Order: sequence, then structure tokens, then C-alpha cells
Amino acid sequence: MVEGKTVLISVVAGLVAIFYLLYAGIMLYNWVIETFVPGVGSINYVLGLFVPGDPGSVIALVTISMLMLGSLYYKLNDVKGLSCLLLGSLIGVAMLTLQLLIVIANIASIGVLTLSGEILEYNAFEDLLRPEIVLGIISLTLFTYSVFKIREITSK
Amino acid sequence: MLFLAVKNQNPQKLSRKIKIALAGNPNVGKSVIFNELTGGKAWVGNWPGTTVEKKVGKTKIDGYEVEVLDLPGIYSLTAYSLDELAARNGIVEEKPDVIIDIANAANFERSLYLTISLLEMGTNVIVALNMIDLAEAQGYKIDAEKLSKLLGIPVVPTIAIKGYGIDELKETIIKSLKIKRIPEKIVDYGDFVETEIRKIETIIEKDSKLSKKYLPRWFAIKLLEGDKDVEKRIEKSPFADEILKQTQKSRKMLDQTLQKDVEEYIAEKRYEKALEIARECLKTVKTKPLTLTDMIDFVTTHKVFGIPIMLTMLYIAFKFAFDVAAPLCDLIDWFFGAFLYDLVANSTLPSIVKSFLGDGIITGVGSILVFLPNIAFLFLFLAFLEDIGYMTRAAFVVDKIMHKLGLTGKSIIPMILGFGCNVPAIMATRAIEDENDRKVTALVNPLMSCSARLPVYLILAGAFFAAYKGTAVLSMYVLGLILAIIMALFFRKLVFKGPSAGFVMELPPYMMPLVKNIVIKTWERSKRFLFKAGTVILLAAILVWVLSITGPSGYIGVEALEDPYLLEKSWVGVLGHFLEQIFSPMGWDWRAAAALFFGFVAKEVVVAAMAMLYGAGGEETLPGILAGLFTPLSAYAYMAFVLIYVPCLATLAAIRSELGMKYALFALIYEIVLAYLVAVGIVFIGHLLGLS
Repeated sequence: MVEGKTVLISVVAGLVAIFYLLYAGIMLYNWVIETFVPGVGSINYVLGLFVPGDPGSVIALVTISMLMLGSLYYKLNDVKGLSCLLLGSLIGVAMLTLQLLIVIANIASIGVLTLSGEILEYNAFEDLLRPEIVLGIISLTLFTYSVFKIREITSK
Repeated sequence: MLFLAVKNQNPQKLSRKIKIALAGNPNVGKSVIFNELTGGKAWVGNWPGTTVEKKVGKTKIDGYEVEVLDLPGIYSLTAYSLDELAARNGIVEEKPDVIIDIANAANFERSLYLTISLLEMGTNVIVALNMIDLAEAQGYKIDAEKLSKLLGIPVVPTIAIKGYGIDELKETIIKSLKIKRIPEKIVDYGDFVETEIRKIETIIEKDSKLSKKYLPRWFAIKLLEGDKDVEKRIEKSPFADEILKQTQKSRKMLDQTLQKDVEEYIAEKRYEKALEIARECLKTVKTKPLTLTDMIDFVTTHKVFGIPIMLTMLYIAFKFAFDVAAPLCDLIDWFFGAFLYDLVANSTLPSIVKSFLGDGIITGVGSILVFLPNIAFLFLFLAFLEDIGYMTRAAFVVDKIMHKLGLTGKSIIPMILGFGCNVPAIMATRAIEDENDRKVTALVNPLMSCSARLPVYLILAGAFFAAYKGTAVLSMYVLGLILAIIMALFFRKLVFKGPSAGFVMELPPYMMPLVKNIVIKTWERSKRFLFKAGTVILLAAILVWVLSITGPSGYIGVEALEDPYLLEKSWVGVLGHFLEQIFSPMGWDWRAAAALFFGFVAKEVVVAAMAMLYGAGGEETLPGILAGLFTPLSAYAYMAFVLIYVPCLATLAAIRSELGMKYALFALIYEIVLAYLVAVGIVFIGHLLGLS
């Protein structure tokens, strides 16, 4: 049973790692298109609405992916593997929290600017459907799992 | 084995005003105890004759008015580093009634070394045995009662971060005032050394003034250790020659007898004593278990994961600071740019007063204050990373790279400090013993992107890289760090040749931060920015305003700030057109070039000057105006130039006071040249890549 759970978590961690890497790849592609191929326009962006080009975010996403893959490399029944999963999922959760805070801040910004007479529109759903949120929720599950496992180990 | 004899003091002799000092190794929770005792209110100054920060707070305990001195974080009381010297002189000059030595229960032996050093000075010490919970988590327990008996002083177990033991600590402070401690020998250095100590001590005792100020035994030990600062202190003594002659004789004799350096021998004996006491007080509860810190450290200091994690943390910090603080920035922008500006513009004041208030003060200072939330949020996040213990790990991973390049790891702490402000960072280089390492670290420190550059980055990144402004700013920090390492390597290989000193870095355990502490840190740092905005930046904004409405032909009129043709005839215009020729390869117009000139006062002034010269205010926002005048490439080159070119006046003054005028001028020149080369390089490479 315990073995089965570890396998399941390993599969989820592997899949999440691949999705983060894919997400980072699209983000990098969109940034390169936007920066180095001017005039092409957003039509060539892949999922441009949900995946804006941002090289800094690429670093963060690749790091999460590396850590998740690291957890598979060191094996989840090993302390090193669990440490990688803990940190990887923690950063994933941090990115999720950050994105949620940004959505709240954007709504507040619209409120402030409306007060000053500007008319602006903001679609919070676009930001809420970004991969940081979706993958962050899965990372939250992995984070909870790693915390429980680590508590078990450190309390022994 | 009691080392300090005690006797009760007459309560009537006790003053109601007392002074206590907090001593301890770095990262033992000294700031937390300081905040617990004082409520976080502190006056910051410098220790006499040094640039080491002195923090003083006040509190009331049991009817006593207590002044709390926060001594610098130190490991011993030698005269090698300035922090140690400042702490030692602080104890001698300020004469605190009680010294609270905050010992790290989780790193007990090392902390005991300082405790022994303090006791040797003959001070009234209380040990606050902090982080006892962490020690227990590591599998051992410290018998505080036994420790108290062995040292002959009170020992109070504390967990400062949870407020545990603070009340008992306060009670003990008051109790210890009523007891006069008579210092006795704490470390027995063996017959040979003790005889020599006694010989020197006897001569010192002849000088009543000297022996009243310093404990003769401590003074004699320090002389035997070859402490230069102590040697200086006897220069005025009528027995100076006799003392020095005896010291030289004793040192020579001991070097031969002991077959090793006396200083080394004395330090070894102190460590032996610390170890002996630690062994007697430590009880191993269980074998050291695996801790969460061990697990996290495996990843954060990993050779592959370490650097990406550090970059990710910085990215999150910037994204948090810029995107989450945005509504507050909008609010301040509206207040200055629309509300106050319009209020002045629609008033019946004379036009020159309107322009002074609106174009000069409101636009100038307002354009900077808009970034207060960004800066406060960044400080908040960095304080969080600092308090959980991550920043030391970040320093550790960068140190690994520095070490591979042959640079000293000791540079890394001043370099990380430089992200806040270069001035204290340059002062922090005093902890570096090797003179060449110290010079190199101080010279490259201005390349570390301080918070003063942030407003410039934010304006340009907001205008040109809105979707990834956090990344654009992060790239400036990384560029600064890379350039600092390259320049340090260059200086070390060509100018300041010689081997680099080794470095041992202690990684404190991760811990849950205290919200109060983070808030206090954020407020203290943000307050400096606010103060700067109300003083230096305000004055610089007024200067720009005056130079914009006057020119070689005399008074032009306030219309110059709205009419580019008139503005070109002002002093700023003349200066800008001169500089424009130099900056033509980068494609910056004369106003951008002139703004750079004023950045010499403080880097934030670049934004204030730009806001004024480009006529921002009211409906026109600065990012909106800049978007039409710069290209993303020229804007990025401008950001890089601001990162690298001349250190601000305060930084330059710090370099001058630390290294001398020659090096201050050298820093000024090399940074201008480097900034120009990097900016031209960015534009050139950008053009090659097809960027406009």
C-alpha cells in the first residue's frame, strides 16, 4: 500500500515536472518571438493569453521541474528524493500563491484607477487559468505529501 | 569551581538608570532579544572612531530606566576585525552595568568562547542560553544550573523567537545589579604563562588610572597576545616602557618554552576551557537525528540546484515587490500626479510658486515616492528570506563560485549587503582581514545593485518590459553580480596580487520567522528611503528645477519646463547637449543624458530629473512619455548604465573613508568607463541580433 502510494506520487511528480518544463519552453518561445522577431504579432504566440513570455519565470519553472525530476532521480523513499520533492513543490506553491496575490493586486489596481477616473477592464479568469495556478494546485498535493513524509522521518 | 566571587551591593548605591549591552555570535537571535527588550525602538549611530553601526534602545524594567546597547555580532574579543574591536571598546568605554551574552545552545562550544572572553574582561555577565529548543531537536540538552555554577554567573534558558525566558531574563538583570562580582581567574594558562601574566599585571597595577579602567589580568593577557590596540592604550602610561619591555621579554621566553606562538597557545587554552565546560554541561538525549534543516540544505546548497533556487527566490522577490505592490503605487501616483499636482496647478498661487511646488517638488519627489511600496515589499520579502535563514545559503552558493575563481568568500556578505545599500556594505568590508581582499571587495561593491537604482529600473522596465519587468530588474541584479565577480578577478590578478584568505561559513538552522521582527526590519529600511526622499532627493529636485528655469542668459522662466525649445537654453539643456554627444551611440536624448548627471547625488534623482525634464505630471505619466523616446534596447542599456556608472556621493565618501581618496577616484573612473563599455556593448549586440 505504502509502496503503491510512493509510485503514484512519483508518477505525479514526473508528470508535473514535464508540464512545468513544457510550460517553461512555451514561455521562452513566446519571449524569443516577442523580443527577437518583431512585427510577427501575437498570432504566433503559443497560448499567448495564458503563457506570456518571461525569461525570469522560465528559470523558476525549470527549477521546479529540475527538483521534481531530482526527486525521481534520488527516489522518493530516500531522504534526498523527498527533500527535492519538498523544495520543488514548495516553490510551485509559492508561484501559485504569488499568482493569486497578483490577481488580487490587479483587481485592487483597477479599483484605484477607476477611482481616479480611468475606465479599465480586467479579466481575472485569464490570470486564474494560468499554468502557475493549475500546476501549483497539483504541487500543493505533492507538498502536503512530502511534509507528512518528512514529519514521519524527523519524528523518529 | 567558582570563578567569580560575589557579594551583595548596597541597594541605595544603585542608580535607577542602568545600561545593559547585548553581546553574542552572529545569528544567535540578538536582534530578537533586543526587540523583545526594547519593543524594537532603536537609535542608530556609530561606535566612536569607527563606522560600525551602533544600535541603542530604551526600556523600563522594575522601575529602572534601562539603556540597551546592541554590540556587533562577534565570535571573540580580538582586535583583528573592526566589529570585535568596536564591541570590545563599547564594553570598555560605555561601561555597561550588565552584559547579556546571548549564547547559541545549538552551537554551544563556540558561544562559550565568547562568554569566557567576556568574563576575562571582568564584566558583569548574564548568559542567555538561546535556542534551547533547537539544541534539544539536535539531540542534546544543556544543564543551565550546572553551567551557571561552573561559570559563576546567572544563566537563563531562552527561546527568544517565542518570547520564552524573556521575563526571567529581565528579573535576572535586576537581580545581578544588586550583586557585585569580583573577577577571578577563569582560564588557567599553566604555570609558565601565569607567572608571566602576573609579572606584567604587577607593573600595570602600579598605574592606578590604567588598572581602574581595565582589569590588569585581562590587559596583561592581551599584551601577551600581541594585541596592537591594547599596546596603543598604554602609550600614555608613565609605566608604558616598563610594561612593554616586560611584555617583550615574557613573549620571547614563552615562545621558546611553549614552542609555539603565545597568542595561539592562549586561544587554544580558552577553547580547551570552553570544551571542558561544554562537556560537563551537555547531556546527549539521543543521537543527532535528521532535521528539516539538513534536508532543505541538501537541496539549497546542492551544486546543481543551488544557483537556480537562488535565482528563483530573487525572481519571486521582485515579482512580489512589483506586481503585488502595484495598487499601492497606483494610489500614491494618483495622489501626487493627479490630486496634489492638479491642486497646485488650479490654485491662484503665482506661476513661479506653482511651478516650484508642482514641477519641482511634487513631480520630483512624487516620482520617487511612487516606488515606496515596491521597495518596502522587496525589503519585506528579503527580510523574510533573511529571517528564515535562506540568505546565508544564497551567500554559501555564490561563495562556492567565488572560491573556484580564487576570490575570498568573505566578500560575499558585503556583496549581499550591497543589494540594500552600498554604504554599509563597504563598511562591512572591515571584517575582511586581508588588505588586498578588503580593497577589492570595497571597489567592486558599488556594482551590486542597491535599492536606489530600483526606481530607475522600474520606470524603464514598466514602460518597455511590462510583461516581465520582474525579470528585467532581476537581470540587472545578476549583471551587477557577474560584473562584480569579473572585476574582482581582474583586480586580484592584475592590481592586488597575492593569495586569498580562506573562509568558513556557518549555516544557522532554518526557523519560522517572527512577524514583528520582519515588520521592524522592513520599516527600518523603508524609513531610510523615506528620509532620503525628504532630504537629498528633495534638494536635488530643487536644484534640477532651478537649473531648468535658468541658463547662461539668466532667468528663462518656468515656461521652460513645458517648452522643450526653452528648456534647451537652460543650464540643464547646455549640460544635456554636451553629454548627448558622448551618449549618441546609445541613442539617448539630451534630457536622459542630463538626468544621469544628477544621479551622481543619489541614483533615485535620475527619475526625479527625468520626470521634470520630460514634463511628467497631471495627465502625462513618465513611463508613457519614455515609451515614445526610448526603444527597449536603448532603455535596457540605460538601466545597465545606471547600474554601473559612478557610485553615489555617499558611496564614494564611504570608499574614501575606508580606502582613501586615490581609490575613491579610481572607483569613480573605472565605473564610468565600464558603464559606457557595457551600455555600448548591449546596444551593439542588440543591433547584431536585430533588435531595434
